[in-house]
Amino acid sequence: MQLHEYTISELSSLISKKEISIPELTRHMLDRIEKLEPKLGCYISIVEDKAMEQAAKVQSMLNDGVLNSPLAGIPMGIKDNICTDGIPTTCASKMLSNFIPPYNAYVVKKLYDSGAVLLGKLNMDEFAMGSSTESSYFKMTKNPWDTERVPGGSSGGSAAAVVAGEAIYALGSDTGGSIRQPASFCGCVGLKPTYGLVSRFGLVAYASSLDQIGPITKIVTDGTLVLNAIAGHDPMDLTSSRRAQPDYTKALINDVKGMKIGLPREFVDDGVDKDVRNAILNAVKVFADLGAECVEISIPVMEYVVPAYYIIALAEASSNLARYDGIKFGYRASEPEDILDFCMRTRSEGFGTEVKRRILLGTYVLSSGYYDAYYKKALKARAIITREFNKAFEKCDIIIGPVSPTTAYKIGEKINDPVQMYMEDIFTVPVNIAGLPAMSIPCGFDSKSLPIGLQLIGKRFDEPTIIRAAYTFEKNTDYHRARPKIN
Amino acid sequence: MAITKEIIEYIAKLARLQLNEREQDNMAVEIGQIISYFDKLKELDTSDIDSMEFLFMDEDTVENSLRDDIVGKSYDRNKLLHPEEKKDSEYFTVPRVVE
Repeated sequence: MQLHEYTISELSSLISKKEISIPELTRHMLDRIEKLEPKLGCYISIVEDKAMEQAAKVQSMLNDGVLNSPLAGIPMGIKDNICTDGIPTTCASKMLSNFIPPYNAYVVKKLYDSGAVLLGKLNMDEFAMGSSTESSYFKMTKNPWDTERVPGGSSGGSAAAVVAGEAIYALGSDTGGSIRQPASFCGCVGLKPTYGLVSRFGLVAYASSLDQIGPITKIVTDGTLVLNAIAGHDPMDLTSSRRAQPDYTKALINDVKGMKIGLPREFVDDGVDKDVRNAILNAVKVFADLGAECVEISIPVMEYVVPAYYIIALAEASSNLARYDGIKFGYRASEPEDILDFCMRTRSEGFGTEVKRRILLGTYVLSSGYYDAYYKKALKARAIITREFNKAFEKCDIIIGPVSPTTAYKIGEKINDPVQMYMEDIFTVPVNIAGLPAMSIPCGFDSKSLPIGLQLIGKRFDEPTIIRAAYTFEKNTDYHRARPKIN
Repeated sequence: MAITKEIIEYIAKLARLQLNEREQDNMAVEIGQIISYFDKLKELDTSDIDSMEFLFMDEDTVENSLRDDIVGKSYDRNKLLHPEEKKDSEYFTVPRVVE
């Protein structure tokens, strides 16, 4: 087995037993990146020198006994919409192609404090707007299982890098499924924490009432270790929770006896691919055989979640992206006639088509005459959707279902049909609407040998229960062991 | 309601975006399709529902969460300046706004 195939806890143990050094591990990862990048295109920027410097620094801190964290010395990548001091943070947009943040995001600081080694910044859909990483201004990321297919999105670079061994773990962000769906398409573990659990200070805002940062990892244990490091109250994020933070690794228990697991009938209806549906039904059986009580539930409002989600997300996006006027940071149009021309051309030349489309839609639903019909209506739908999930949780401890109705599709296949593409977010967006935690874990393969993801949704701040169920599933199945043959 | 080119032109102006002829045509069609998909939401009965303006958080963060007013360390000016500004410049420059 090669070093990039190991998990965080395995590497951590090798490092502490001095069987490998951190610089040696980091060098291996950088070589792996150099070899695979021409095929996969996971990274927007690679920080080789900084990574080697950090590796040496962490190694000497470990030798001196001043650092004690399971993440110490583990090489990772960060989605390029999370600010890194002195390292470009582009959001995969021409608009921010020259932006070098003067500070670290809260999560980046927490990871550095844990001794993490940053390898580089990962590709994504422009401003996280997309489900396939095809809207990146810089490059296309390929799915490591089949390089003619998309890795999912918007955290496509993060998921592809983890599964291909170009990073041991990665951070992504999830506004409507952007951690879980690429994790599902690439066959790894993606965790979207409860709204408020992880600070968004330093995350470039897309839709502020929905955005969350979370880990993408090979296995559930790794995700739990990263969550432990990045969760916690941050006074710099108004929405950051003040709850005492549990040790999430205590939830790594291989036992679901008596746990009530709900499967909404709307999650396995005709709109879901046959192979995906079978994998989900098989997962239900796995849980039942392990002693969980599986119950059928219903969330009748499901057909309204996608329009409600997009109206809210795009309204917030149009407002958040108003800040890109070329003055304080980002792309600037040249030779402007006046201030208005400067602002209009900066935005028109700096944003890509999907971002423009979403800004226009968001502006439309907020504009005079349409505000009540769309935006206000969507906020009311949000209240109903949240209430229905709360009601569903009276009958079960977690809800399971697919992450996406399909597996990874071909590059270019859906990019020209925005409505179709938006509709495929149906199983991930309600989680963000209601602010719930959810995880995607591998649960099978379709007839084309592409990975299928199982989604586990929990009550607010009840990460421990989804971690426990996911861990138990993983311990009793082999899907997480499969790796794409890419070298 | 059909999304016309005129509507696209109007919202583009509100959003400070400039679209060429072809972009306007494409956006009118695509945005029209998306909006009619959004119209599905009109079927949902929301007559006795209050809109959810905020995502509920912990009981103790529902109130305004304010930090103490303590002077902190600011950022280095050169790091904050736009990369196209002259080094050691004291301002962001914009096109002339006052004649």
